[in-house]
Amino acid sequence: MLSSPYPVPRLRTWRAAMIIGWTAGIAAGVWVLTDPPLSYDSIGLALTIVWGAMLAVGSGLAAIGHLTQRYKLELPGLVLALGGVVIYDYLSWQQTLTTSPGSGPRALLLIVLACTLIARIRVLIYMDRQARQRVEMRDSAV
Amino acid sequence: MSSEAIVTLLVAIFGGGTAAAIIQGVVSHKKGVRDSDVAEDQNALQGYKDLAAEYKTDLADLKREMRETQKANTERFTRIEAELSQERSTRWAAVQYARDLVSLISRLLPGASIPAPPESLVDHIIIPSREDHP
Repeated sequence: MLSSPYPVPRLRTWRAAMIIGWTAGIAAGVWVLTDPPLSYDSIGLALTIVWGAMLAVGSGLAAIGHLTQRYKLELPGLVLALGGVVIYDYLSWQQTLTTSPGSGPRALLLIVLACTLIARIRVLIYMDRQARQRVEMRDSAV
Repeated sequence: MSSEAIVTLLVAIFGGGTAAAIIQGVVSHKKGVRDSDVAEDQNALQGYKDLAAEYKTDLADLKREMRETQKANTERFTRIEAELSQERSTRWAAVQYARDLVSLISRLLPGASIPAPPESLVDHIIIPSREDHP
C-alpha cells in the first residue's frame, strides 16, 4: 500500500501523473519568477515574486511528497500551491472582466484545479485525523 | 479594495494555511503518527474490525468465565441448602426426642429435678415445674 494516506492502490500511472503534474507546477512558479507576466503588473514585483514562490515551493513540496510518499510534506505543499492557483485565478478573473474576456475559460479551469486541490487537502486532513485517533486508541488500549 | 490588497490578503491566508498544515504534520508526528503507520492502517475499517474482533474475543472469555463461576455458585448453593435442610430435620428430631424424654421423666419420677434446656432450646422444650405435679 502507499505510504501516502490516499486510499488508492499502488499505481505507477497515478504516481507518475502526479509527479509530472507537480513538476509543471514548479515550472509555472519558476516561470513567474524569471519572467513575470506583464499583464498582471497591477500587483507589483514583490507580490509577483511571492506568488511565483508559492507556486514553485508548493508544487515542489507536493512533488516530493508524491515521490517519497509522505503526506506530511504534500499537505503544506498543496496549501501553498492552492494559494498560488487562487491568486492566479483572481488575476485571470480580473483580466477576464476588464481587458480580456477571452480569458474566461482559463479562469474557469483554474477553479477546477483549485477545487481538486481543496478536495485532496480535505482528504489528507481527514486521513491524518483518523490516523491520530487510531494512535490515541492504540495508546489508550496499552 | 485594490488588487494588491486582495493578493496580499490571499498570500496571508494561504501562508497561514501552510503554517497550520506544517504544525499539524509536526503535531501528528509527535503523537506517533508515521507515514508507515498510515500505510499499514490505510484501510481504517480493517483496523476497527481487528479491534472489534479483539474485544469480541475478550468478551467471550469474560462470558465463559462468568458462566463457570455461576455454575460453581449454583452447585455450592444447592449443596448448602441440602445440608441446611438435613440439619433442620436433625434438630427437630432431637427436640422431639428431648420432649419425649422430659415427658417420660416427669411421669416416672414426679418431682425429679430436670436440668434446664440450653438457651436456644428454651422455647422448644418446656420443663414442668414442681407445682405442676399433683
